[in-house]
Amino acid sequence: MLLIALCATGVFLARFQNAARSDGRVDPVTGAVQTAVSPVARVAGNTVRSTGDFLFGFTRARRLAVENRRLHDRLAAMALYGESVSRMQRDLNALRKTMGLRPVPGNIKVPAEILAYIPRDNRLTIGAGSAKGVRPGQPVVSGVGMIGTVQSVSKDRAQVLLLTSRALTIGAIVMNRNPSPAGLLRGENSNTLSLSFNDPKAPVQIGDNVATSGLSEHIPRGISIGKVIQVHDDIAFGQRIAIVDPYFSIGELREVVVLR
Amino acid sequence: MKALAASLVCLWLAAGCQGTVAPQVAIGTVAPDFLLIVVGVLGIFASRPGATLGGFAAGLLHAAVSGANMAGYVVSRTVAGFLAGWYHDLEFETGAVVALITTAFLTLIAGVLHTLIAPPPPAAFVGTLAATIGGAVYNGVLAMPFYLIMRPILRAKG
Repeated sequence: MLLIALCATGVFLARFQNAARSDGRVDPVTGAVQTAVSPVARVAGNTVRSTGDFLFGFTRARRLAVENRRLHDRLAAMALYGESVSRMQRDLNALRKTMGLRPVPGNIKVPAEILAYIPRDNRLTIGAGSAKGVRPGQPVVSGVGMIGTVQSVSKDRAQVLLLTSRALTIGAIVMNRNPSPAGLLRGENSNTLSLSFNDPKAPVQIGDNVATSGLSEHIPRGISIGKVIQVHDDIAFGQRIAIVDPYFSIGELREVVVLR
Repeated sequence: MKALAASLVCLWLAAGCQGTVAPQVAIGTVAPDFLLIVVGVLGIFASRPGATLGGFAAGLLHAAVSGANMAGYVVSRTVAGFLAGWYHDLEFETGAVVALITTAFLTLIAGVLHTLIAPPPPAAFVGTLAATIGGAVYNGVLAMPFYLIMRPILRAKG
């Protein structure tokens, strides 16, 4: 009897959770649990990472020192480059404004720490929420490109659905071609993505780079996603399908950036 | 009272570690499920209703921490807790090896139930199955030291 009652409670809570999620919110039960366990999560996560870093540094100190110097130089160069890109972005937005167009999304970058990663659900919990202006649908990127979009938000946390999830579909283009063929990208499994083109003769080849199409309210154009590793035709639906290997590797990430 | 407090603390710590520590100590795609380990080991000591409630709490915590759909986690973990509590009624001699077998078995049951309730995409089915089997072994191995730590606290029969 107790077993049935508890299972029924679970199903009820799932409905409650889905209703909140479809509004881009986090349900109170999930929010309360996440708040309650976050101190443990932070301490445990930091301890494991620090231990791993210490052991890594202990065995490869020389290599890390050289790499650190190189990265400092690259950072200085990137800062100059970033400044000039920001200036051009401001000019572009000013021009768009004079033409009556909305500004290009994703100008403001909100850095966030990864608090949890659940591989089975292709989902991340990040430490930035509505208090920092994070909203559902905004793209989440790492140093190598796009990793997913924000699905639901609480005050200081957000759930990120990874590109590898079948529940997420975004517009994508093949960058190496002119004009760039556009298609819809969704998760195939935990390692690859599937990009389907309605044009069965879309010019796409193995090795082509795939990026966001920008045909979205929140996601800007040209954010790198991955590389085409396989192309095949779906004769039944008249589609060409490219299998894409995403650039990101969640295991290597600690921080991400939300573009708002 | 002491057992209840210990169970709550264990579940809280396991939930905190699940999202951050489990991916870091994963072997390939096989990551431990700390909450299921707690359910498996505490189920050896607890009554059937207690273990069922523990399973429910573990499912709720896991789903909330991962932001995943609650139905799959809550139902699979509640059933796992119920089965773990059943063991208590059988009055077997307990030991670290029993903890290993119980936890591995519960992980398989919970994994199969979860797959039936929230099926993965066909392309990921084999990977999910392999991860469940690997997870059962991993959880079972981790359950042994956890059992040895918990036994003096919970005053086991064996």
